[in-house]
Amino acid sequence: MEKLLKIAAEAVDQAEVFYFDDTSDTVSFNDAKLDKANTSMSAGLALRVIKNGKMGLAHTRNLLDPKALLKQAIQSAENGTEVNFRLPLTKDVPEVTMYDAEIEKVNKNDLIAEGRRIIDYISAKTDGQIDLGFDYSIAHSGIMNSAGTSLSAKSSEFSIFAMMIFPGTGSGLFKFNLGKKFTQIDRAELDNLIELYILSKQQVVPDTAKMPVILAPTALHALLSRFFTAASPINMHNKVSPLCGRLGEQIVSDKFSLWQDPFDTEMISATSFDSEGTPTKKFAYIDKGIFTAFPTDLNYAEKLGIAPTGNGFRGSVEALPAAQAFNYSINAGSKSLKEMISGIEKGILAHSLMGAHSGNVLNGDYSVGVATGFYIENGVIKGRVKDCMISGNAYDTLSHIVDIENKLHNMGSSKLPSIMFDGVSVAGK
Amino acid sequence: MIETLKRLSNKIDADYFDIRYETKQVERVVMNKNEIRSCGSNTGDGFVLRVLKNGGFATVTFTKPEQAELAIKRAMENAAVLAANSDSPRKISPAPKVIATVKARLIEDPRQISLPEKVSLVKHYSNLLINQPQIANADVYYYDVFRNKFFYNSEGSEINEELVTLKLGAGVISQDGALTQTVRLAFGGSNGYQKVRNREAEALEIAKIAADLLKAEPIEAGTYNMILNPGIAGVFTHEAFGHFSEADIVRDLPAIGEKMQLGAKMGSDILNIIDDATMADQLGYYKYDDEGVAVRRVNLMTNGVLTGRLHDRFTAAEMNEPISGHAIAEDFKYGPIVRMGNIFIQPGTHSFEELLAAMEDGLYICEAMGGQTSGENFTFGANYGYVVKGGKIKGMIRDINILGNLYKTLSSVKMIGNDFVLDESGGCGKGQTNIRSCLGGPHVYFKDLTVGGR
Repeated sequence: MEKLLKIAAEAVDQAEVFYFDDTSDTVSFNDAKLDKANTSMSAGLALRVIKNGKMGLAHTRNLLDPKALLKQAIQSAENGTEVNFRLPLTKDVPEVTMYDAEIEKVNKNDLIAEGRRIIDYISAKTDGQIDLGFDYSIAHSGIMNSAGTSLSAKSSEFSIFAMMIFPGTGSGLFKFNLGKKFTQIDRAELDNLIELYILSKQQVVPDTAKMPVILAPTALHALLSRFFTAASPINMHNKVSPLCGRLGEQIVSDKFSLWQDPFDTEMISATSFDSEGTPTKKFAYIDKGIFTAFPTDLNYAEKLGIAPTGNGFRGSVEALPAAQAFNYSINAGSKSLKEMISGIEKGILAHSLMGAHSGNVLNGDYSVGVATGFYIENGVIKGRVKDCMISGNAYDTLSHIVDIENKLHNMGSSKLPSIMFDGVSVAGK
Repeated sequence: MIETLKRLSNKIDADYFDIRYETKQVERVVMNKNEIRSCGSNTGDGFVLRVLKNGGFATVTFTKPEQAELAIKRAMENAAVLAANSDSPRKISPAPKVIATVKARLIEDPRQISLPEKVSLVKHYSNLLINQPQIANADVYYYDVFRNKFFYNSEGSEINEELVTLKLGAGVISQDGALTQTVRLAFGGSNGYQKVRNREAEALEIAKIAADLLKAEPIEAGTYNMILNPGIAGVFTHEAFGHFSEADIVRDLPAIGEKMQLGAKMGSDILNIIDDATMADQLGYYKYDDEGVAVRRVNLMTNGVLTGRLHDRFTAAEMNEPISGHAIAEDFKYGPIVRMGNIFIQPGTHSFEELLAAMEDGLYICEAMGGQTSGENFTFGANYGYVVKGGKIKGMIRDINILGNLYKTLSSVKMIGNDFVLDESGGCGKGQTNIRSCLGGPHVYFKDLTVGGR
């Protein structure tokens, strides 16, 4: 890799090498029966070059021929995008520990035994199908560039996924737990889920009306993805975002804040540098309802004439870095989920949604099916909702926050509470 | 390459194994508001090894040939853990041994067209779209993907199949003040570069729809009778029914499996649904799946009765049904899963005008904007639509998302059109992305579908 960077730096104006190597394993149960045990070993390398003010990218799985890869990158640059940014020289970033050597001790026989314990615990209290899975992985990645940056990171990840499916259906409730080493599923949260499951045996088709809706952390992405699409630096630069020119303005309720904290190592994406080698930082996207910042990568930060925020990430070696929010959290409120439910005369608690990616996302509009949700009447869950959709505009909905849960749930790359909104349009019978 | 696979796998002591190596060459041009965002050609490669021993079945993927020995070791360990702990040993259905080489059937080979020529084509469409009234932006992209697959299994099958897929797509954004509307465009297929040439008139039509949508009314929530155009009828077929014809989904959700028995009456008498990847020149064409099984046409629903299912060799053995050749992987990073190839409702006898007259009042909705299945429920979005009054098409509507239920919606098909269009877009995301997932059908009239809205 050093050799590749060296020959590239001689042939072009700026060069950058990004690489990763990871091994991941999975064990899963389907309908309480052991189902799969698989392994994936994957590696890759991307070379980005800037020559005569144009950017090119080439990538490979096996670095057999560095010269051929460089040739591909240069060809890509010849037809490529015009850019004016400089690759950064980044040194002495804070240490963010994302690896726990305990991960090396995880073995599939132990996980199968643990899986059976969890399944027995759930099945003693419920009657539906139980699916369960464990994933664990170790990853190395790094970035080097012609400005002299050389950064690398090692990380470990362990996750448990448990799902209870309502009898006779395919939908249900799920719990997801994450850590850097073998972690037990949170029994208190599992108990809450089992309680919800038991309460939701009846099926209810709600009326078509406006009513209060609580979105669980697993359903909030329907709103957040619309904000992040509008807050993408590409849409800001192209002036097609509804958030254009609105920095510093109130865009949602003052009860709502959205912060990014790259140094919170309880979330899986914690890092002190992004995949372009820019140092990351803690900042608010929305502070008490005011739109305060949007994520940027090097290229779009330069185009917009602002400092990069350290949000340039690659979805894979095939992709150019693009701005992406990570390790973000919403502020906790003051009420428990139970207190919020008890304050609702007629409303819905949505646990998971369908079709959240479709519709006019950029404009903030959403119209989604409730995959798993509960109908609340006089402060009590009456059953699970059937054939029901909720719709609105994300900014409008986020302006009608009644309460935010007093607890944040770790969703992996985010920590989110349940949020109760007023006057959400529900389509039912 | 097959010889290499034989050599790498000669030490495997299993009841069954297969090993697949493929190279995947992607050439891509991405433009964002008349500016090239990325462009270039890249090749990736890797191996997928699957072993079955004593009823334990495990998959290991790896990218470096020197990892082969370790991969075999891990696969055997995983299979042994499963065999020791599982109460339902896996079985594999018999399949014919195949020795074959299948070249891509191309009218105009995109691999023979230079990158600068592809760049100028993307620029051409981008310029065309962006200069239309009220169009604020057009993100135009092009890709072609060349998968060269080599498959070898312990039964002696040796297959090399090429798949070349290409697409020119765009998100066309219209704007009026703070209101924006997005309409998607996709031209492409599996039979060559001619698919993306000379499509200007259709591109202009998309730009006009995006501009018109700025004046369209958001739909009101409720239940409507509606006619789906072929694009969205195809997505309906895929989401509402197709996924439940995939044997792995049925297997993983036993409660749904109990209801999805072959012979069960699930739809209207007039409803026939077919998956046929063998049809020439459509996006989903292939000869052998990623288990080396020749794909065949499957009549999934006949006169409303469930008559077939899509299988891999393991689900077919478990359900004691015939293999169908539907085990498909995205690329070298994945083991195959059961996928639709080319699913559609068989055309009926009625003209579009007859459907409109029969419906009288309702909605005419067009082109899909994503769909999703969760359990027996599904949603799908429409790009745009129109109010229909007294059998006549009236004002345009937007923000249409439809919700349905597997057990109910298939019975609400009232009338089927006599036209037939297959989609050129692809991109089903069931864990892996299948860029060749093809769908389509005729115009179809449904009674009482639920729509979300204000």
